[in-house]
Amino acid sequence: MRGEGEELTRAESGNAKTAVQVNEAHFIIVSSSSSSSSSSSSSPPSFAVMTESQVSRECDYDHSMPQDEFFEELDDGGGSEVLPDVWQPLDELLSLHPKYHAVFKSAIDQLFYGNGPLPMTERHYIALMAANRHACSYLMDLHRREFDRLGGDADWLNGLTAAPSKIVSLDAINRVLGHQPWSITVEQLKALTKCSAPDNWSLTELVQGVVILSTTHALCSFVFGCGNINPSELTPQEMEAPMLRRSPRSSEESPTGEVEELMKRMAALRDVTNGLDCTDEEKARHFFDMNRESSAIRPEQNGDKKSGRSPPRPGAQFTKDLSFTYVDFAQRPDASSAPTLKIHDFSWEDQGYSCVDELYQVISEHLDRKFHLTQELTYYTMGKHTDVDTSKYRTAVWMYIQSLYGIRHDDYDYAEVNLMLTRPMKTFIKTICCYPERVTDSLRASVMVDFKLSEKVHVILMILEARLQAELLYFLRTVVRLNNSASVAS
Amino acid sequence: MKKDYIFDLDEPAEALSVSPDHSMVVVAGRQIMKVYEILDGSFSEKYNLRTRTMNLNYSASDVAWSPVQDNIIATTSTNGSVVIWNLEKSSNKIEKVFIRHSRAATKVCFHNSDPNIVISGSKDAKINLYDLRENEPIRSFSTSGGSDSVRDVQFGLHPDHQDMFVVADDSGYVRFWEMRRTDRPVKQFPAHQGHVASVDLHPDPNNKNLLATGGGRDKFIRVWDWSKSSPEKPIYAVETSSPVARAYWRPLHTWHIASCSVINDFAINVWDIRRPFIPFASFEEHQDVVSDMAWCASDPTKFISTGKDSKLIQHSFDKAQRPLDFCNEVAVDISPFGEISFAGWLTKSM
Repeated sequence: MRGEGEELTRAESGNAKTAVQVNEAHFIIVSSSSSSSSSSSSSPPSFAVMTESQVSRECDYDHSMPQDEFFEELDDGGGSEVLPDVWQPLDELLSLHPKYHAVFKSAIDQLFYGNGPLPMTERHYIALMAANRHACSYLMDLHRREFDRLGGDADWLNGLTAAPSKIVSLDAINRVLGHQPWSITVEQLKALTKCSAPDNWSLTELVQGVVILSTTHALCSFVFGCGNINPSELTPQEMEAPMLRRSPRSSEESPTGEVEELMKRMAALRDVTNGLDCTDEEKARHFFDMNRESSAIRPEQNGDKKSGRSPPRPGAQFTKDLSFTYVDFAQRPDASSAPTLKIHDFSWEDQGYSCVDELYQVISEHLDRKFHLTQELTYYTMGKHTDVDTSKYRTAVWMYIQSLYGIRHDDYDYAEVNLMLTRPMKTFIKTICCYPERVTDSLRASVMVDFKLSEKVHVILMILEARLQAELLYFLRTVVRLNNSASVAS
Repeated sequence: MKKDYIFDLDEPAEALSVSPDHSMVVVAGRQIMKVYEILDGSFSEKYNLRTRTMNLNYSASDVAWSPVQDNIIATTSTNGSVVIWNLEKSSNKIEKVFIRHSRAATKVCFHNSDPNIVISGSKDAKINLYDLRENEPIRSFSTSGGSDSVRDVQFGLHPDHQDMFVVADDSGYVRFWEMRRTDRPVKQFPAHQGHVASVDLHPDPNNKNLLATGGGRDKFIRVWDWSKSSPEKPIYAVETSSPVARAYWRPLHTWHIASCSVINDFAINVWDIRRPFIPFASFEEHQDVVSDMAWCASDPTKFISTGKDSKLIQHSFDKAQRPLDFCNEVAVDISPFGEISFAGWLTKSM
């Protein structure tokens, strides 16, 4: 042992990981950087005796990691990231969907805390501006605190008037994307990118900025959809009762038959072999019918004032013109300049992904995974029933949300939306998507009554992702047009 | 010098295909479906197939001209249908409509010798096989549990491969199916990260085992020897500057591949795959992304292309950009001791 100890002392002066041969069979690994400081005074530094094969494994590790193992690590979506505590209330609801949770965490981590062209403080400030569109106090509080924690200029928190004009110039896009994404124009992007320094946005910065804006808009929908995710000033007891859990019906009550009716309809839809008897004229009519009908759905103007504690609405400190809101796509004033977006002309999978990949590469894979997973995710359950093929229902939810933003799929028969989604459900989805700040407790309680909590969260997650994708599609299509106009001009 | 001929279609096009004798071209898109006669330096419209506007059967996402019958054309549509057109019919030229895909149909291909056999791929992850004498697809192919959209399908070109077809899909795999075996592919191997956007079998019988694939996201064109039991590595790879939409072999030039992009790059690049870093020739007439192209089989210095810019263009190699001509092929450096190193082509005069 003595001999080994002497060897050790010499080894300690070497690099962090040094192998010293003691005899033919054994090696000593000394980790001098971490262990020596803590243990040197009391006991001799700990060291491990390893067999030859272990050593070679240990030493080879860094450079001989097989390539596919490396990819696997990339592929599992990470999820080991730990987000700062302020995100924790979201974590709790998302943990019902572990797969999604992992992807979500790594996406948020990358977007707000990872590599990117924008300084971290500005990212939170931009998110603050986005959350202000829907007066979402939880997210506003979150980003205000993160901005502060990361050393942002406290002056900015007094409102947009104190922020630099470059940041302020993003407000116009914040407004349009949040409420009427179809009306975003190449000119708006030109105004942001082509002005003189220091106010100009590089395309890379702009893409990150917009991913933050639209992610935050969609998160507002999630927060309001779930209800009672509140700013951190609330006591833990108050936080512990998210609205969804306080379902007005107790489990003993007989179910409403909502789930059974849905299952019957899904089975019926599958039987008619995918609506093959429906002509394109009819399909087009169904799309417009559904759009018109959806226009008739009017969420209540103001929040649930009667239902007791309604948190005070933050003012318009971080965005201008709060009166600018969603209008029904069918009734948009600029109908001729903003036709429906045909998903076959511009889809996330093809153009959208590649466009983000070009300009802000680190996030493209995260977004792609989130979209893909949200559309594929299923546990084959509905309420108390198991082994249910829920694809028709999930597709209907996704299609309905995207249609609210004028996105049309040629290969979908929108009559199915009417079969799958009741009018209260459509009201709920439309409110959560377009006017999340107006959602009421009674509206939340009126839908998905027999669904399990995790299923409700699942539906709200789909609202989140479908809305995010809709905003991004319109923005990215405009970025491509901007690029095209530039390269044609040159 | 002859100029490239640029023809205005007025509507963006998704695909084109030339007739067996290369005298005509059909151009298809959401708002257009027309047949043009190919003249030297111009096009002359022969048929307008899009006689109705509200029906998506008249809006195509892909088009293929039968390689053996010069009056038969097939198109796919975003509503999931596969439409067979007969140019010899007098008024409505639709011969047959198959609506047996539950999602958008993406690609259609004729058998290279049997005039009745057609396959189509779709976003519903299926490949359907049709006999034009029947009213329903006679077979359907899909990998078990597969949910990956089919991006491209191509029938084997050479006599001993004609009953086999190759498929590109969103899984990143290339799969070879035998026409009579629906249970599983006879061969499959991973080719790209993300999806495989296009496949093209080599037209030359001496190189019939070569397959070119285009990666939609990973920005690679790869060349495989698919005769091996499971090709692990491509024999050639070209990394492009933007995601690849299509990659086609150039006839009569063993190592040339033409490619076009999904976004950002409007050029058609012709690569000599043995020199993968710089295109051998570039054609930059289009003002938006190129959606499809077709070589002139008899004269490989010519090809036709179309794109989202609503243009139909006859290209000729004497008008090509040659990026290699602008490359510096000589390098010189001096060592700290004053020695000079030189790399480049040595000529006798030096």
